[in-house]
Amino acid sequence: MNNYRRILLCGLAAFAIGVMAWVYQGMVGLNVTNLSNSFPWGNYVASFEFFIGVAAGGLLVFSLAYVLKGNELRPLAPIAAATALAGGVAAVLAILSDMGMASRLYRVLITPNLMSPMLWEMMMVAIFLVVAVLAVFFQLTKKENSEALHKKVAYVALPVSLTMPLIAALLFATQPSHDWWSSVMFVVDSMVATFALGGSVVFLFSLLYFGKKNMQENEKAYTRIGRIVIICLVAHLFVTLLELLPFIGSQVPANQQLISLLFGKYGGLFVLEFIVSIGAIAIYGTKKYAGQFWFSFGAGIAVVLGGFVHRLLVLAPAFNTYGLTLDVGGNLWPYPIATGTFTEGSSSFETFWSYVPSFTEWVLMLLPVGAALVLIGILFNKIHEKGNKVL
Amino acid sequence: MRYGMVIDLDRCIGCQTCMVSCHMHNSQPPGTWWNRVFTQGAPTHQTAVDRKGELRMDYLPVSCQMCDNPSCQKVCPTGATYTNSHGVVLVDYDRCIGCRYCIVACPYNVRQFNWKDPKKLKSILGDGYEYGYPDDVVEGRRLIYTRHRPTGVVEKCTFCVQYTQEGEDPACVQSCTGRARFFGDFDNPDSKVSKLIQEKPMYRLLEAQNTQPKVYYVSVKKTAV
Amino acid sequence: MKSDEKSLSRRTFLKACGAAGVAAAVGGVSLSAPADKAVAASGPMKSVRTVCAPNCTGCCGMKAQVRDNAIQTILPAADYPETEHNPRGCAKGASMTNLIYGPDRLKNPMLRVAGSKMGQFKFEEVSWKDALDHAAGELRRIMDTYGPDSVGYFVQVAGTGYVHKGALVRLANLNGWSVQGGYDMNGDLPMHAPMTFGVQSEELESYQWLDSKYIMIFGSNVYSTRTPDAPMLKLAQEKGTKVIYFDPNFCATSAEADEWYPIKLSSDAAVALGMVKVLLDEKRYNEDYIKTFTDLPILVRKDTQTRLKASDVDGLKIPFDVPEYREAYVVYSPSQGFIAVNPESLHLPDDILLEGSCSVRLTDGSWIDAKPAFQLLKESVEKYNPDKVEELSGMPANDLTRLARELSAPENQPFHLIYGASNYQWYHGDLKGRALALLPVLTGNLGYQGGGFSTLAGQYKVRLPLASWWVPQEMDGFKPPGQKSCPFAYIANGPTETMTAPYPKKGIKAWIMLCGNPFDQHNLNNKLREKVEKNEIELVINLDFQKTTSSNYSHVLLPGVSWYEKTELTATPLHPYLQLMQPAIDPIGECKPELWIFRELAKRLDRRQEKYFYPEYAEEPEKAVAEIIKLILKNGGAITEGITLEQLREGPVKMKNTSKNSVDGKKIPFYEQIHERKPFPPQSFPEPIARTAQFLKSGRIQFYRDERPFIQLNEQLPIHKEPFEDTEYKIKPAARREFPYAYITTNSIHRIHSTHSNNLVFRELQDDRAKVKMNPQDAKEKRIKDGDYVKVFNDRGEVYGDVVLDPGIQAGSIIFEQGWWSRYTGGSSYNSLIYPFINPTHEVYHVPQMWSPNTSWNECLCDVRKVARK
Repeated sequence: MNNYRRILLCGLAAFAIGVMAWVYQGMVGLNVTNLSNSFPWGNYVASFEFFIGVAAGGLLVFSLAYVLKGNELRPLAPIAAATALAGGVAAVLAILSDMGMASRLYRVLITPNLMSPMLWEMMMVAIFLVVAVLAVFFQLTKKENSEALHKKVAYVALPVSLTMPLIAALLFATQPSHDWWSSVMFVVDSMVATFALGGSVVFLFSLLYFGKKNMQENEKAYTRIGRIVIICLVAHLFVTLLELLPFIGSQVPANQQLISLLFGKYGGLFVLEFIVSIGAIAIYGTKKYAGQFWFSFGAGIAVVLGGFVHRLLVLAPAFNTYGLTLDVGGNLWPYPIATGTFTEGSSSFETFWSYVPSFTEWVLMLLPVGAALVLIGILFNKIHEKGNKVL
Repeated sequence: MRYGMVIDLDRCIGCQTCMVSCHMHNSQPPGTWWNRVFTQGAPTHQTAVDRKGELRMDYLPVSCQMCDNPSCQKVCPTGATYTNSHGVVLVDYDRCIGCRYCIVACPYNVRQFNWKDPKKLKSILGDGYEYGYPDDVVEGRRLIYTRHRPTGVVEKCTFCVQYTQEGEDPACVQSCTGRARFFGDFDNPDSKVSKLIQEKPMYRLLEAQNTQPKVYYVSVKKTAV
Repeated sequence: MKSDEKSLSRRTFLKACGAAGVAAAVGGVSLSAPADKAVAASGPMKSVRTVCAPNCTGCCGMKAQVRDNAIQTILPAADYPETEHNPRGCAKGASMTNLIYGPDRLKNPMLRVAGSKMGQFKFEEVSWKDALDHAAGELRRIMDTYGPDSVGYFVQVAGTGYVHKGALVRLANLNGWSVQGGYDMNGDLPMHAPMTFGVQSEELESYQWLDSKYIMIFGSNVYSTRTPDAPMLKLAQEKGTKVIYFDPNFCATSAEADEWYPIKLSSDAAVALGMVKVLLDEKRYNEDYIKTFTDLPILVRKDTQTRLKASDVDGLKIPFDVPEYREAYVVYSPSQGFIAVNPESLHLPDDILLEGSCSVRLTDGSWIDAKPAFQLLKESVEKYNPDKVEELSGMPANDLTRLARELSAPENQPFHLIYGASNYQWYHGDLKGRALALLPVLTGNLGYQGGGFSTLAGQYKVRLPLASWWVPQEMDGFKPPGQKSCPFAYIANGPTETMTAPYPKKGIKAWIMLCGNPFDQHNLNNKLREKVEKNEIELVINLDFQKTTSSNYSHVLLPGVSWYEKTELTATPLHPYLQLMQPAIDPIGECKPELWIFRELAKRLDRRQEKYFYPEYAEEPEKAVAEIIKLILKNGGAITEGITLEQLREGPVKMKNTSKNSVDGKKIPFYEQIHERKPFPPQSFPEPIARTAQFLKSGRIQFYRDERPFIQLNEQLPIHKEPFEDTEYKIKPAARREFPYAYITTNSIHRIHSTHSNNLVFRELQDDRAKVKMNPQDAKEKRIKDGDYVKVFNDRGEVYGDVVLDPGIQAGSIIFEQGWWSRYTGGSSYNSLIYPFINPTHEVYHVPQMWSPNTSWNECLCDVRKVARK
């Protein structure tokens, strides 16, 4: 049994556990999470955004492999396509876990509200999946001389991969209820963060697929992808700073609260994200380290970690600064929210919600993760079987 | 027709009768409150708030603002949230998929989600005890009121659609001992609500967000937000 | 209230869908064939009007929507003909079904499991027959062993239920039991009222607040304690009435007043007397009024400090009869000389002296000096100049003078003064009340629409003559012994040497509790718990519709009904309506209306007593209730003239009053006295006039009291006395150091006393935590932060709660909201700290619930310490 079979079996096991958790959640209700009316989106949505990032980044790398002059990224094309598809499927499963009434999802087809950014997102993901499936399909089945076909797919994939994180960002950016999101900077930041993440995942998978021994062989590809990730990470850091500027010194109560949150309660996570970004930039940017398997691998893991934290940090500061915050004689007073849960000895009304994903939420993440692993297992096996013969 | 509400903050005595009445009439489970009344600036209701040396107690009731430009309605992917012909923003409990995007979108944080089976939650209040208006309200095939909402859907104030359909006022208005709440049609210039917002200084919450709420606050003595 | 336009009705369609929906929800309820299931499950909805009356004085008409014998929703009835009252109601009334159907509802008669420990809920459900047989058997045993007066009982409170609660009074009269009057047991008897006005208490109905131009409120947090009436204050302000509020703390009422003065704890007498001095110095008082209606012109002997009796004056004729409960005193008129004052008449010459001094020759030949009480008052208030008052109370001198001038200014008449319960529930609450009473009386406001003196506490008031039901007469050779009275203060405290109330020879050995929770709610309740644990009280019968902390200390639980399950007659001091509670649903479980329970007890105690309870309606208590109401209406005299049961079934009916000068038919307290010159006091039901008239032997408002304890304590006239000096510091001087905080227990908007403490809705609204409110500076010194869990304690007891820092709380005080059941406060009641100091002036007479030792809840000191959460 080769490694890919093992991955496939692990993925199946994880998927099964995830399904059980999902059924359990379906029976009890979303109360199994640590969410509340004051913090309505958490791990599931963060992981959805995470997988969107993986998917979009993967598809971008795939398309760049054909679109960019010079074919440095070619060797990574099938990996990237597989990543895109796995990420896309995982994203769908992740968001399904979040639905209060997943069984009614078909309603979106019957009575869609075309004004809804969530509907755009669903349509976008549908389109994405079609393109990703095509890309993977052609990568796996077409002969070596189908360059033109791959290129056609790549040219379609490019705008799709760029648009998907844009739409995903619009989910948040269109909401004036949360100042943390409603800016152009947020959209730009989301996109570059997406590609940083997706690119790193492709890099990681490539390292795993080709192995330590092929570091030299794929140096050009790795360097190119490393550059892409660096550019995106630098842009991410730069844009984040730009985003923060209007908040610092703002007179709007909600904004003052947000700053105190970011540098207060969430300061640790914020700093963590910052550090991993810098670390990854340093590693990818240094030829000495970039060329070393474990450093590159470590950098990739760091970006993945930072990417997940980033997506949580999209949510937490936004939810814990209430738009309805009153300035009462110079003191900021958020109007308490009815949380939707009552526990003996504590309040049903909160002005702050400490969200830490519950055990069930983590277990339920095995649903998308397991599915992704299953796909990776199958697809990488096929790629392996096809041999390294790629264009 | 545009139903709306005017709350006279000079008359509000912070008794929370409207809060509890809403909770009971609409059969809300523990933890779910469509209508909230708190003291501005106070960590605990009805404690003194020091505003730059002056002690005050100003109450602010908040429930769905029934916006003319509702953020929640725009984002609902299935159109479960909609505005009816009376200007009332409602949720179709049969169509909601529980994505909670509307909760994220609402800047007033008035929407509530059924994280658990509300019927089970309410059972701790007594064996076989059910409270609240008992009958369903259906409007053009949309289920806009039912006593036990299904797990996993969003809910919020409906201006007591079960009562307004009969020409009665919402429960909060009927039970407000301070006589601080007024309900009526803003499209009618002679209605009490239309007149009140001309007679007294008025304001709305989060005006800058352009949600165009149909819940107005009037006050001379109590400070504006 | 209707909205402007009717919405489109989709009635038929909705009903069908509704029926289907309810059928789906209700599931198994089906009374007919499956095809009809949907329709049967959603029967017709009916609306029943009743009255919510848990001793809050609201007495609010409520409409219950009922289907299939279950209450679905509750709304204010809002059908009072005088529309200023609409709507009445509050959050507690709105969620009453949580108590009716909740997990603490008592549904079956229960007997304590033999041998189980007191303090635990160890009961077994029994049949009514077994419970009643046991209860009656035990009562009979105790009555035979210790005497009938060793069976004590209390009712919380009879004013809320004239028929069913009154049935226990009737039973007690039949058996010669000892009543622990609820009014003084609850600390609500404002002793300054009988001392000054000779009445149990008196107040304006709230819609008359609209007729005042100037309202001063001393320590009544109306906005938190009188939800349905508080809006009248705002409506008055909208009309231009000025509201001045005095309270050490910034509470909800402080926030709404035009001016708020944070005076020092219990310093209201100083403030009042300071204002009196201004009125007297600047001659801003109504001389004719004072001469006619008060005792201030009556001469007081310098030697004995008692009033000069006409019978002691040499050569003075007394040309009238003097009832034995009155006395003829003396005034001096320059034109007519000494005049004997007829206590039954309010007519005296215009020129009688208020000031100055007289020499009087007594019948024994000696000469004594005497001064009118007004002169003594003038001398007494001399020291309360604005600066001194500021020193005593913190009231700014300039404001004191200004307010005294404002309250007496012609453009601000009528002037109304409200005195609050939490304020007079101090050891010297009477002195404060007597001092405050001077303000509306000196300015001539008592007896005029919108003016006067109101004490706000409790739904105590028996507004009709009820003797026809409460006091059984001899029947077929059975002579009811009549009940005795043994105030609760003596049960908690033990008898005192100076008591005038009777005390059962063998003490109280059995206790019947009706609708009360004393094992949480009454002071020294840890001692009370001990008495039961040690079997000093051998039998506790608890008649209630909920299982409370007191159930844990009972032997027999008898399940009664709420006001949605019976017909009952009720009224309140705060509005003019007689109303019926009416059954919206059948009694829950095995619960029975109280009338039925008392009849069953009666017939077991003594077969001859059964006929006092309409045995012909044995299993139809509602019919008996109807008869009793008719009886009461028939015997209500002028107050119920023309009022029928049928009218009451339709809605609220305004009681008749004889205030002919009233512009809009409002009842003006002391109307007959001021406008028809009838002597003080008016009757306080259910006592006959002689019993309370003895408080005012002069037949007039009395600011001067010459009974021995008053003279001994130098309290003949109201003066300011510091809190704690005569109580806590007296029994333990070290308390000054050890217990530096005043322990103040206030009412919460989330309860009515302890009713609704267990209502989940209010637990949520209070974050499910009992709160201890502290001044931020005090907390800082103790290194206590907001949200800390603390123990509040003194030598006598302790309570636990979460700290809330409140900048409105005066330093040196700790506020705990009364009413929490012990289960929410670490097992111990907040009342375990409070000692029932008995004021000897309260023992001068004993008329149950009218002159009786009151409970001064706030005369208590404590300390606070952070502890680990229980």
